[in-house]
Amino acid sequence: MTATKKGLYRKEPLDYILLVLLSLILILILYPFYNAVLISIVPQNDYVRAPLMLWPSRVESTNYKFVFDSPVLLRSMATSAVMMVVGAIYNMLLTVLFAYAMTRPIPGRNFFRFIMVFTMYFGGGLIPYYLLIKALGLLDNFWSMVLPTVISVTYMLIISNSMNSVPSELTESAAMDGAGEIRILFQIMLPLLLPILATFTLYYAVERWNEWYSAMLFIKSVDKWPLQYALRKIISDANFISTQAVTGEYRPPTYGEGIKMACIVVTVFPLMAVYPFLQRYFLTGLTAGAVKG
Amino acid sequence: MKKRLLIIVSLAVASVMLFSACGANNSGAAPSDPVVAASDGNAAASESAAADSGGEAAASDGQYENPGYGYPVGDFSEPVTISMTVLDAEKTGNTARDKWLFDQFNIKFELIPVTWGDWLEKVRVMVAGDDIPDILWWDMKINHTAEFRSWAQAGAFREIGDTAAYPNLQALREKTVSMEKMLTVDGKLYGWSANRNNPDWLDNAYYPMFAYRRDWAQALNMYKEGDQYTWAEVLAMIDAVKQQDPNGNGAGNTFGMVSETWAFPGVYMSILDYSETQDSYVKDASGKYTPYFTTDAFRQELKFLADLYRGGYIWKDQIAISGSEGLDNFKAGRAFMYLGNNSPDWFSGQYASWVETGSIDSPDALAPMIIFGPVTNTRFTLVQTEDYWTVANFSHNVDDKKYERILQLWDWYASEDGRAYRVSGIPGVDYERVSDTDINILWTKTADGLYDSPYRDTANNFATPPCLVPSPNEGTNMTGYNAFEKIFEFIQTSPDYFVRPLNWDLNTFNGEQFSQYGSFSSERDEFIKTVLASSDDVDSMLDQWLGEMAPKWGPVAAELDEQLK
Amino acid sequence: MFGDSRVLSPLKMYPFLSAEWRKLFIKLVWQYKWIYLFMVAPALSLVILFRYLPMPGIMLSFETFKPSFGKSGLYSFLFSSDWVGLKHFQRMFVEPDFWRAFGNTIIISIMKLAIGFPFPIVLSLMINEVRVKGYKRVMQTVYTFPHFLSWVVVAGIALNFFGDSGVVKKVSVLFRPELANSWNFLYNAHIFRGFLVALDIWKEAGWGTILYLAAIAGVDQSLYEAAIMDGCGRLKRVWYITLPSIAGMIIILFILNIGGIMNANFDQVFNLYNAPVFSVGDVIDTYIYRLSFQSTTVMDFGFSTAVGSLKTIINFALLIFANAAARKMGYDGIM
Repeated sequence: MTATKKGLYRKEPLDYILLVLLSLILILILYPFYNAVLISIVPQNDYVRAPLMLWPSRVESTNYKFVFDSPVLLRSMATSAVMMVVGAIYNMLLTVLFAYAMTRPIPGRNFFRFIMVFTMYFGGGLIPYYLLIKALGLLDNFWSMVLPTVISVTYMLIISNSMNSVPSELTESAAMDGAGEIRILFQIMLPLLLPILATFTLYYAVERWNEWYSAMLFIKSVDKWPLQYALRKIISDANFISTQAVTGEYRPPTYGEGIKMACIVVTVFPLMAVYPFLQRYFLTGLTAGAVKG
Repeated sequence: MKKRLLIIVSLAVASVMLFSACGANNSGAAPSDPVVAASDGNAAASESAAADSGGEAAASDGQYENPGYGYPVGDFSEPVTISMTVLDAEKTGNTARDKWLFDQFNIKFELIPVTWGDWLEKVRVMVAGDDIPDILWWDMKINHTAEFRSWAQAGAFREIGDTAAYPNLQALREKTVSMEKMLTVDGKLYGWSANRNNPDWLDNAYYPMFAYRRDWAQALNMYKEGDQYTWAEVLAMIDAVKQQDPNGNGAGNTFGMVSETWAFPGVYMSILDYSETQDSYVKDASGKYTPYFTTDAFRQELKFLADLYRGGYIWKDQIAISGSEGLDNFKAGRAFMYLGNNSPDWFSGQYASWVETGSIDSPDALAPMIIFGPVTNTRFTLVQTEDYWTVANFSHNVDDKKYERILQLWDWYASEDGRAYRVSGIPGVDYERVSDTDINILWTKTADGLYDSPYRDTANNFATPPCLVPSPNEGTNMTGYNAFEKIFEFIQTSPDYFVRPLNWDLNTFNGEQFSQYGSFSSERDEFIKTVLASSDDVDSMLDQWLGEMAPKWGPVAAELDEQLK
Repeated sequence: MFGDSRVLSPLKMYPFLSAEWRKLFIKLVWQYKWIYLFMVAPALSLVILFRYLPMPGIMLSFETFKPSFGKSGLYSFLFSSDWVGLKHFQRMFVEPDFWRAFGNTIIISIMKLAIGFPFPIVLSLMINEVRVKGYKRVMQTVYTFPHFLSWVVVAGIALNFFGDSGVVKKVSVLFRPELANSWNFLYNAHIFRGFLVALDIWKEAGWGTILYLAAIAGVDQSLYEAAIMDGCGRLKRVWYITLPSIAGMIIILFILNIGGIMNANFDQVFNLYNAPVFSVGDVIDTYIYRLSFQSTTVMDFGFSTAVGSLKTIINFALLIFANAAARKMGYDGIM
């Protein structure tokens, strides 16, 4: 075993070239993000003079104050958080169940799959969709932002395909031991596919977190706004120059770029905070010996 | 394993919320309790706030003969719920003065939030989905007329009938041209446009003026009293600014002219005086309609603008931006001139923030600028704009009770009492009346001499639909108006001030071709930008483009010839 | 393959013709009743509710939209609108701007497919080969960051880098002073498409590696050990073990991408394009957007539906074609 380990982990010149290359890419990717964070914390004048600074000379929190002063921000964050958790569970559950069903030899399977794929391409358009939500009584309702998302057919297809590459000996032996479909799915398939499932849970979660368009269409009360929509409002407030200044009302000193970047940080920070914790689910996989025999 | 995940996620979310709570500014105290703040600043008691209609107001002065001023009169015993689209919904409807109003009129508002960016899209979806609120208030522009017409004819809106019983509204209706020309379909009025209430001598022209750095001009010894320049002088100043760098930005870091995205390139061309009229379609020598871009005046304007841009006088990136980068640069002292909707109120707001951030030492450093047309070098041209801002429509669902209540509310808004309310707030608490037309605002003043409003950073938008509050008024910050002193003098007295009239009939024309293709204004703007960005000969580019466009505008012009005499 | 289809093929050929097949059919349905009930039914019924019920709206492609007010049902707008037949399509085919947008959409999508599609694959293979565990994790996380930025923000960043007062210009002017006045990066028609592709790669390649790395993680480690004992070098191991493990996923994603050729990313193009590059950068979605919101014309939902329908029909045809090609080559398709 030790000899093999050395073989696997011996460092070659290729490793060093790889590290250098990937590090360069890292900087290329990281720098604009770092830049975005900087823009959100420096005064406007400093930013405009040196938009690509490496280190801020002065730091101020005006932009974040402006963002958090908004009466809707915290509320919308909570709304989005709930949407993300509930939505991801809802999406993932439906997707996994259906994907598994597509791997079983049930009559009409190809027909069902076709129905799903068809919806990727053909839809009715905005107006009938709006009328449907209205007819269902979901206007101005939290669920109008979650329920219509159902599943993403792309993800379902990939999950289904991955399920098919699980060796059939496992499922067949379980079936022979008397396990029902649900048990096979949850106790055998899912643990083996953990990285894939974690990936798509993340994809769904991010999609729900970033949702704003359905809010724009259907939501009529401010306390149901999701985060992204509230941020769009805050950004447009920062850019908007009041054409009718009401007595005593003034806009605090802000600048558009800074507000935009502060909003980005506010959106992304919660995701960033959680993502590393989920990392290990992406990296587990089949260990040697699981499939022997 | 899954449980751990859940704990981690909820901890992360909780920590974020904790973090944000620490970062949040608790400036929410002021707006939610203005009654306390106002009475701190005023010895006069605030019991009047609880009085019902026609009740007592504790006027400290007692000079004004009617002690019951400021309160609406009428029978509001039945409660009414009204849904309405409104900007800044999250800042609306929560203050003491809002509550006073709701009590007086016995109205409960359901505010449907819209934002600047999605107003139009949301309105379209609402109309298409038959989900129109009681009051649909939106930023209707004159080029939406054909669409509005089709909605009205399909039955989306309730007609606004005879308003003789509402004298203030009736007066507004008679003086607002857009109501007749734009919102009347088949003889019936289907919407109410909010009159801008601009002073008459402005002739409903808006302010496409440059704002510029007067302090730099003074530093260069090129400043002229009155802030009125010719183009030659302006270009010379820009050259000097770039060379001498009065703000110490470093070489190549100072731009000449920047502007709002919507102002480029159209507004630059609208202040040139190559032609008396710039309607989208004009009559050529033989009396037939032709698009403005086929005329020689347009050619001259295009060349002028191309010289400006290619010569580096206009910030090069202006073509590529889509946000407020122009204003950001101007604020940061990287640009000499800025073109936008630079009204006196805009200036007032800017001075405050610029002085605070240290960008300028005193408000004198920033000033509005008039540039005379390049042909005459004495004439200043503005464009007449619509006499309204935003339109309100009634949904076809609105019953008689709501209809009446809304009109009563609007009539009051348009009255002198309503004006006083909108300028300050509750009678006796926020203001006291001294004469039939003047009020005294009772708030304390800050060190700058401006009123410290208890309603700071809240919105009062749902008072807008009948008309805008005339500016300036008792509560206005006059710094901006002072900057315009000489310019207003010029506008009101000089024969060289010229306003291009708005051609209502053309803009609200109802032809089929016109509705489908319009005036090709976006194609024109795209073409102009392409010309600016390239380095080819302007004449040949224009000739080629005109050749391409000729078959397109032919049918529209023919329709105009036929139907619009 | 998607399970053993030999049982099903006779059913496919003679669905309800003979009593024998019908008995088999009913037996199978009963055998799998739980699957139908708990796995197929939930997703299917919700999809029918939210995606199929609105589908008749497609008929709007042949109508001029007129809303109906008062007591209206779900489909009453179809009847209140005026029927115009193929007028919208005729209008499309006549407008040279439409064809320009059409061509641009295809060219840009193909460029993204040819250049951009391999990037996440190569990147994930590279990341997988990194032996420093902590750094590997950091890389995996950081590479996904740009995905979270919206295109509005990326456009702003691009302006700062490549604009007239940007870093790239300042550096270029050092080498070529004549560029000081003629710098033209953001509104240059010659490089715009490449610019779009490059930015798209920068933004999305990292995010794409998540999926591939997840698939690679499922590879049995003993295969690598066996390969080393057989004397396989690094590159050979990647080519013969790692790559095939994600081949299935690559094929699926490739097919789906082909089925998405008509959808050049609206968000990206909208935030980055400007008038001088319309000739090469205007895509169908942005063309529709401009027609709807920025001109002085009446916004007709019928027309935008018609263009959308055209797009989706072409996409669907491409999908079927790609799927069939993949199957012919021996890979699993998606249908």
